[in-house]
Amino acid sequence: MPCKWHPLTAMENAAKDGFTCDAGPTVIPVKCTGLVKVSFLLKLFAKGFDGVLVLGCEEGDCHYYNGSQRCGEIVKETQEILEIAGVPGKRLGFHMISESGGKEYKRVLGNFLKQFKKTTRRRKRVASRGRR
Amino acid sequence: MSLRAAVDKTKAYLCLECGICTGSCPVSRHRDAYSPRLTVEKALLFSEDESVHDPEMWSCLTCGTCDLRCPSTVDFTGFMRSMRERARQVGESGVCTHADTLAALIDLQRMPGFRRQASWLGRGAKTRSRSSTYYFGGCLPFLDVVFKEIGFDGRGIGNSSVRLLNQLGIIPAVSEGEVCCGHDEYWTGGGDLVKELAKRNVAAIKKTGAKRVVFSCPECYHMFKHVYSEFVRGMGLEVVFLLDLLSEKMGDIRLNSRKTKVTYHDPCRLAKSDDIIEEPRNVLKSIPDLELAEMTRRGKDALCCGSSNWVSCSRVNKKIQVERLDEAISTGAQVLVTACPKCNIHLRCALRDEDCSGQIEITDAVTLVAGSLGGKKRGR
Ligand code: SF4
Ligand code: SF4
Repeated sequence: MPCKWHPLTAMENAAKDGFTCDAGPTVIPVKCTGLVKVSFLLKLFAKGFDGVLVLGCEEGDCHYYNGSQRCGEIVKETQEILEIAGVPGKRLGFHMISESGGKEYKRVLGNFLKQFKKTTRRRKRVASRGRR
Repeated sequence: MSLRAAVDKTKAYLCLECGICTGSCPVSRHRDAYSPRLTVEKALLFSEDESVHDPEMWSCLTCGTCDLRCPSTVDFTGFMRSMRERARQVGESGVCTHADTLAALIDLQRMPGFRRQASWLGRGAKTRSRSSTYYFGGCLPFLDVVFKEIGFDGRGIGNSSVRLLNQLGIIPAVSEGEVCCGHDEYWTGGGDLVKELAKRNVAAIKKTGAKRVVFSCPECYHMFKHVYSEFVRGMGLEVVFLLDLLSEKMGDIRLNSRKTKVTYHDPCRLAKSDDIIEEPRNVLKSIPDLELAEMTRRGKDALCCGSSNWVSCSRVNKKIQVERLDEAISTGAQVLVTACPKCNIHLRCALRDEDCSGQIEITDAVTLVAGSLGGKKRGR
């Protein structure tokens, strides 16, 4: 779940360099990670995603002042909830990435995916609209 | 259920148009557009279409004040629930609060692989995987995380509840399979999902060999006592509210003195629908040196905490909450004690409202009592 500003650009740059990811993650760009809510993240897990990686802009780079910092707090809160539900908190990752961070993105994604290597990977489903 | 059937079931056709419900309703007092009398009238006189699209139906707190006062014994809250059920069938819904976190928590609890961790109860709370008594914590561990920022201590309520049971010589069972009781989903018109949650809960509890379930949340208690039988046939579980159980056994527990003046806020489900009014007070009075000051509106007449089911939290709801807080503060009490985690959360939130006349500490009765645990147990 990248912010459409810097992290998405970094991802696009990585893709231009020929980077592909075998895990085939579903990409859900957001207008600012500050808009991400606890409910969005929980619903993704409830829909069967094994992990969610949120990518925000670096501190000071946020187009809306402090979106990614706020998202950091939301992620922490969600991790605590996941732990109570028996899901390891690290299945929800959060990183801040700059526009030129193509390499950084590859490294972060690689590290994040390592934890799933051992578990049999379930088919990732594309998020559709949930129950309201 | 069609609206016609709901009218028959809840005896709404008996309505006399007296307006006592509207006069008693905490929402109508602050919001002219909302009137339970008018809601019933509209349903009786106009087409179903008009009623189910009326956004005002989501303003009702389902507090039950009107039910108690209606001279014709119209089951207004039941009627409201059926109307919401119908409204949801045609795609309507209330405005969710807290960015829908609370509904997402239900989704999370239904996810394959969900295993509630018993560790949330914290240190000193002894539980087992099998026991004749089950402790149902409901959404407390999750609410603890979500409302930590306003100082709500859900873990503390769970921990205190189990420690008090331990004091009575009971080591309750808890289960990884326990899920949300479905109260909010039920009262906002949900059916199938509530049935699923009810079945899962009853199955999880039965697996522990429990015959009796103890609750610290009035809403969970209400669901098991009055609603689950609709969904699970022959449940065969005795349901007990913790403060009710404690009120008979306080003599067995030694408590340290606590020189504080407190006042007690009756949660709607507990007082209005389940008649548990004096029991929590008796438990509080058993704390040595504790002084209990009563608010003017108490017991079945108590004012609702102002918000419910995680829908529609507006200026009106804040006004009701501030009204209740002002009433509590005017008793001169230092602590406002309640027995419902949600009243606790809603009133805490309203404490930050600039219209509130002062500050008061808010706590749950079980936390207060467990905080006074000290000396050795008498007897047994
Ligand atoms: S109190 Fe009962 S009889 Fe009177 S208006 Fe309300 S629903 Fe009708
Ligand atoms: S249940 Fe409570 S909020 Fe709803 S109409 Fe009756 S008195 Fe008003």
